[in-house]
Amino acid sequence: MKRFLITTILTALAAFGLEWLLPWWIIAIVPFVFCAFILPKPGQAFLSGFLAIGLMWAGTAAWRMSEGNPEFVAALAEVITLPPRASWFFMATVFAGALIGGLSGLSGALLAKMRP
Amino acid sequence: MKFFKFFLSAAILTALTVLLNNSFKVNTTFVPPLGKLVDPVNGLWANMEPAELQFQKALKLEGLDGEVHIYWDERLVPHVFAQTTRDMFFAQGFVTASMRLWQMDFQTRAAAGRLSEVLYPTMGEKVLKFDRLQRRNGMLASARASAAEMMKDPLTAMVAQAYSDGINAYIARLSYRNLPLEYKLLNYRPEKWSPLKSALLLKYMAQMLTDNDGDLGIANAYKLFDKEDADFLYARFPQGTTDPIVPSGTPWNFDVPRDSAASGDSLPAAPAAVAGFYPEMENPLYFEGIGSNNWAVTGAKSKSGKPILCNDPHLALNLPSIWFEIQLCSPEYNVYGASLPGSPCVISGFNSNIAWGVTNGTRDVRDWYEVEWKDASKSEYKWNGAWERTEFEQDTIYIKGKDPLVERIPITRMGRVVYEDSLMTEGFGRDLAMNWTAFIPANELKTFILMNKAMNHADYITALDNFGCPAQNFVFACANGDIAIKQQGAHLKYPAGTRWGILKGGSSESFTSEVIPYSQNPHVLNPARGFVSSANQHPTDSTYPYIYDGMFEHYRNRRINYLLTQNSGMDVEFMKTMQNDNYNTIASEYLPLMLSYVTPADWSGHEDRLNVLKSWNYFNDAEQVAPAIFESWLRHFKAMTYDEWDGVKGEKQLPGTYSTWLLLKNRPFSKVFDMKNTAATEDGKAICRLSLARALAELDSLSKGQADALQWYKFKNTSVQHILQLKPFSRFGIRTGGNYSVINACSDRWGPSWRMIVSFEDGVKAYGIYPGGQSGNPGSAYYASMIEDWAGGRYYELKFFKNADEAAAAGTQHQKYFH
Repeated sequence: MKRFLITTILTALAAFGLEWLLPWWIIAIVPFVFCAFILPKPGQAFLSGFLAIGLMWAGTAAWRMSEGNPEFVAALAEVITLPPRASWFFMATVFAGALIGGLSGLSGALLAKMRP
Repeated sequence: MKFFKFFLSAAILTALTVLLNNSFKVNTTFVPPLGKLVDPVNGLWANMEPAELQFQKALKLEGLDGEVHIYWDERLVPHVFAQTTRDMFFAQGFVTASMRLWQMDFQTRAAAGRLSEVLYPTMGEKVLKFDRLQRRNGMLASARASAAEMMKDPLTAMVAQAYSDGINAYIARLSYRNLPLEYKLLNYRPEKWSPLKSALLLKYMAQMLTDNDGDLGIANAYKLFDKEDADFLYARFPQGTTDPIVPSGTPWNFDVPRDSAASGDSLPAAPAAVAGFYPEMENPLYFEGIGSNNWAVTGAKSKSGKPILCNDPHLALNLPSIWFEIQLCSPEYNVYGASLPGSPCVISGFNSNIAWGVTNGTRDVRDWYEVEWKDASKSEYKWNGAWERTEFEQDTIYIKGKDPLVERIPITRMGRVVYEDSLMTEGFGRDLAMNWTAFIPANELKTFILMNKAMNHADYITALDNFGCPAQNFVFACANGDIAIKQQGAHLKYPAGTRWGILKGGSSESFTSEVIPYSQNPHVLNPARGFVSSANQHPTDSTYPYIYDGMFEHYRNRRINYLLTQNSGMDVEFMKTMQNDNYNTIASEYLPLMLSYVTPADWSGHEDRLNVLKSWNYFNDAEQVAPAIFESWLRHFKAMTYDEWDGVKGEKQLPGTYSTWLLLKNRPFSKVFDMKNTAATEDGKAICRLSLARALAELDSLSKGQADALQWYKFKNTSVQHILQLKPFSRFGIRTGGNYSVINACSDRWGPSWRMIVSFEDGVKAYGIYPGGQSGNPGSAYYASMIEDWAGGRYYELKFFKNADEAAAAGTQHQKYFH
């Protein structure tokens, strides 16, 4: 459990930091690396990556929204053909991030398991 | 097995990431790079700006000579204070790009015919056709010539280069995170700016303001109506044309032989080879009703005893706004006003000595010629009885996701061949070459460079001498009391007998390239009546010695001149009311006539509507219902009167509202009124009755269940729309009155795009507003922040600071640029 928490927190922090320097797809690499080295259990790794990136993106989006205008976020939802509500764009964001984070963590753990 | 599991998981991860990192198409639907977009750190979320914008206090910018201080006021107007003029224009480029980069980049791409490079995946063949047409129209070629002209002049070259360097300094600082949102959505990146792009932007404006020349449509009208009717409906000076820009009776201070005067008034017969209608034109930028108002009064007419100048250019109501407010200050300059993102300088504004504003000249400055080829290879064409060799321009159009297309454009002495069997004219026998005054080398930018620091009438004239296309009516007022107006632009000297339409090609006799001397363009300084004005009407009366045609206004000009004649002791408050005046002159003339032609029986069951009209004061105020009733009736009346045009496969040009009124009033029994597809013979009265019935039915269906749907602002539905027509970033149902041909010219998609009032009392006091906001970012609180005040007829005081200290003391946000 401790290992899970540490991996998740480290993943979230590292991904957040690296995103300011590198393109968004770094979130598909960070959970992979951490899980490959620290959390080689596939089920836990998926959950860790899922939560780490999902929560990090949720937090960042919430912070952005608190400073700006929720109507604009609703407009963004409409632009990508979702119902015109801020919550839809928020959920799409969190889901996309979490899914990629989870798959990344899972892949990392599966790679680790291949080692003899 | 272990390997397989890993492989499967990694493959799904990779596929999903790549998918979300790229844009692609599903059937015909464009899917943007969704992962990139929803990323809250770098994606669209990052385009959301806090309402309290905090500027970085100091920026190090390569390429500056010294320090520049920017003071952003509470509406986000930058007040630029530089130690050199070069730095001032550099900073203008930088701050403009920081607010409007995508828009300026996009508009210059549109001008150049390079949209396919970025928009082809989203818009497909439509955008490719647009690009091909732009190349054929010579936009890129003429901008190149214009940029060369700019760079020949050291002053213009310095300004254009400094502005360009400033924009590039901004682009160099951009990461994906702070790219304007549209780049992220369409998945491309900005390219470097250059003086050519500024030239393209000015050509874009020229095209917008002159591409509705009416030529093909009016040529078709002469095929549709008999000559007598066509001459009446499309008269050069319709009966009773009053109130030209230069007051009737003003003597011309030059002499030209009368044989070049407006003698031959009718269209040359169309060449026999062409039996059908001329093809439908594509005027991609034109919106019906583009026009503008400007006027100035002398001290004798104003309360303060000092001149007041007003300007409101009417353009498409777009977001990001077409204008960007700015104050520019250097040791040589201190100027404030509306600038066009993409071009240096202020376009409509003032300094402490003078103020100026623009309206469109509206004269026909494009001519079309039929080309007679020797054979299908098009390598030779008929010219003065012999065969002349054709030149070909090979223009490569790059297309995102597809092989480039080479557009092969024949060039003749008459101009570029725009309409050819390969484009637009399938089934039409002849190719059409186009000549346009925008092809005449001129340095329009220099007009603004000089005007921005002009001190008096002589400086104003000197500045104007550089302006070629689009011809504009430049109104002028000076702190010393002078007022003036001049229609400036390159206008060709047409031979006697020339009429708009298609000119017979193939001979130097009907081809003309000589320009009327600028000193002979319509101009008036300090007229006795104490005011000057323009509203896209005829620049002169018929005594002007040169021939011209155009789509002229007949209503706003008369209302403006009436108000300026009737009133004295005018002040800024009066001018505000006047710019927002909703008096509908069209209705005041049409309605009594139309009402007299219908009977009470025609209103049966709709007496309430009749009563609304009868008690109407002819003001198109936002909440009134009468304007909707009248407008609906008028539209149906025109459509039924001109049913001749129904089903015409070719360019259409309906007669103007004023000529139509003359027809109804003076020729109610004209056969033009008779409808083609009825057995009966209709006259004007019958058309009034029949169109009323249609209008009443339309109004009933609109107001069913929605009693207030006929309130004028709901009926006309003024909208301010994002340039890409993205609905969530547009504003609809703006609560505003007015209409076309009303001083407050707010129609559905266009209107007063910048209202400015400058009074020279106590130095200079100025007020202004435009329907948008300083920021072009839909995620900014300043994106559409002024629309509501604009719709309500309110103004902001324009903060014209004498120096940086005054700007600093005014509670602005300070930013320093240094090198």
